[in-house]
Amino acid sequence: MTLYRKELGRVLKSLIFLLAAAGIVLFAYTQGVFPPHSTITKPEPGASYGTKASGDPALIMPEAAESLFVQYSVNQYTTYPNGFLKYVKLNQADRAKMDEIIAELSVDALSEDTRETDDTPATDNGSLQINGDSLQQNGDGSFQIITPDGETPIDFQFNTAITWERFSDLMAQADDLLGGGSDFSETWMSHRFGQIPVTYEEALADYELTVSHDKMTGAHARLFSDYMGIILGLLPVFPAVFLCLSDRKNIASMLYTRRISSARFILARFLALVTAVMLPVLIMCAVLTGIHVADYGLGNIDILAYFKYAFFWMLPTAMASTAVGLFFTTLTNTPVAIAVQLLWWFVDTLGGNGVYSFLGVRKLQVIPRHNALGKTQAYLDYLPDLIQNRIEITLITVLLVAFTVFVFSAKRRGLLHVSVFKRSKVQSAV
Amino acid sequence: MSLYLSVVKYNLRFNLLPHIAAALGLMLLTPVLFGITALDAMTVAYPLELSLPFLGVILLTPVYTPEQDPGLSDTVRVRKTPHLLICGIRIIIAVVFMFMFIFGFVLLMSALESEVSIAHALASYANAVFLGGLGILASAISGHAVIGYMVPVLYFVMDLMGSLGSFTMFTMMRNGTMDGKWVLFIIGLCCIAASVWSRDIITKRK
Repeated sequence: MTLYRKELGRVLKSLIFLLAAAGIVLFAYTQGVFPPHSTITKPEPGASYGTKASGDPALIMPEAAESLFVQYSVNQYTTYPNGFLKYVKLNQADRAKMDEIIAELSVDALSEDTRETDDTPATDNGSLQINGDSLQQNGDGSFQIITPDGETPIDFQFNTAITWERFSDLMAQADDLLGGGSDFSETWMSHRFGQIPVTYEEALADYELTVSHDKMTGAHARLFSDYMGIILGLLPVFPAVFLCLSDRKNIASMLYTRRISSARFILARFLALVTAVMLPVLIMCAVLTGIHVADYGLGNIDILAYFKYAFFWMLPTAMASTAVGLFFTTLTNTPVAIAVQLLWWFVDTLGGNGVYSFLGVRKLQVIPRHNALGKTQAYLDYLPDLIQNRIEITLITVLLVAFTVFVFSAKRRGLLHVSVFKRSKVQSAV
Repeated sequence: MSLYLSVVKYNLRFNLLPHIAAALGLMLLTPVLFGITALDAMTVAYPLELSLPFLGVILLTPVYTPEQDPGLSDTVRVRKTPHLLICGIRIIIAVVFMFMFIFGFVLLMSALESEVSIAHALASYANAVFLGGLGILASAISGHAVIGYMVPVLYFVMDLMGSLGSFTMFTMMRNGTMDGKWVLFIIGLCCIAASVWSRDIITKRK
């Protein structure tokens, strides 16, 4: 406990902690969650309440097919193979395979007659080459390819006779051709296509659930957690790296010879770092609870909601980021942990080509998202996944801390010398 | 002249090498994450504004790191060669490497049929100088490279998740324009100059 207090004092008095704390509060302010820019109000009839995925094949199939056709027409496909936007151009062989998929999806666009006639526009190995200017949307939602020299345009009309199973199979083939991560993969298709408006009754039901289940502050706390996760998934790595590198400069040799066990030392440091980065968050939680008491009244809110979300939602994120900082800095004696965490943050935050970027959680996602005030039913739906995710992230953290203990212990005993990291050691140039 | 060449040689060998390796690592990772083939004029902005500006943070921020060790800074101060001259040469090397890397990357994108121009390269370079400038200034004032890394990363995140108005780095991605790039470039240069000045003051005060 003494060691924990000493480490905590060291962190709290450091310049980097003050900057990180200021960064966390400033981020919350710029994102409009501290103080909250919006309040929960009962929906009024006749307003717009957003959209939701219908999951209806009759709506999904034509939209997805048309989207594929548009991208096929210009041979430029939007994919997210690593979570980041990537445009794919197919080669001749793959285009020929895509021709067959498009032909099966359409009523007559690429019928055998059209594709095999010599005077069809710009054919090459059975594929159509069409630039963006040659594509036009018709009033009925179908697409038309305008061919040069006034020849007959080619229409794309979705083949409604196709079954959902066959359609899914064709789209999976298309996704494979594109290298995965496209809108046409099974995971994303139902999220991207077939969206329908949320009705007044549904919006009202969600409001009532927010009042009864969340007691207002729960919904606010989720939105707060959504934004705080973004910053807590990255900033805590800096104090961790800073503290470990400060040891290297000043007291590493003294630390190594102390009688304290490596596990106790690393654990005390880890807990001190996590406490420090959570401190500004907890203070903001207290202030926000006070603001909501004034807004909604003490009897109408869950006074502990912000703190529940701080521990359940935000703490694992902050712990993971801190653990990455501790582990990689102890291992390499370099700030490489910053690059590692930044990469993880990038893939996590900007990754994903659909709803998970704003709502929900995917496997091993360090920063869960809930970019909405309300949507309580959606939260309750993904809650089991979220619990599993938070446990997984905590386990990763525990593993990283255990590895840090092992590495630190090995270094104390003079067993771990990685020469490649010594190159970065400070040396006078002249 | 031989002194300057010697400074360049030793800096490349002992100080800059790991950072150049990190910069190359970033450049290898960028096509994997974003893809750089056959992008149109709007989508080339993703790798150029989201990824390449970190070259500035990687190469410029650690310029003062070697002498931030208390023992070494005492030694450096008593040397005949002015410390700021050494730092100036390091900054020039970093800036030149940034230029070569970004323009080389843009040339590669162009060869891969992406719609990039010199303006795109200059815009990405302006962002890199800006982020690197923030990093080197924070590092010089605080005396810690880690703080130097944190400040530009924090700026990047806040700008990406919201928007910092006239000082946003992401005009190409958001509007398809180069608005404000010159402002960022000049701020970046001012930050670099301010870092040298503050380093001079801090060194003399000790």
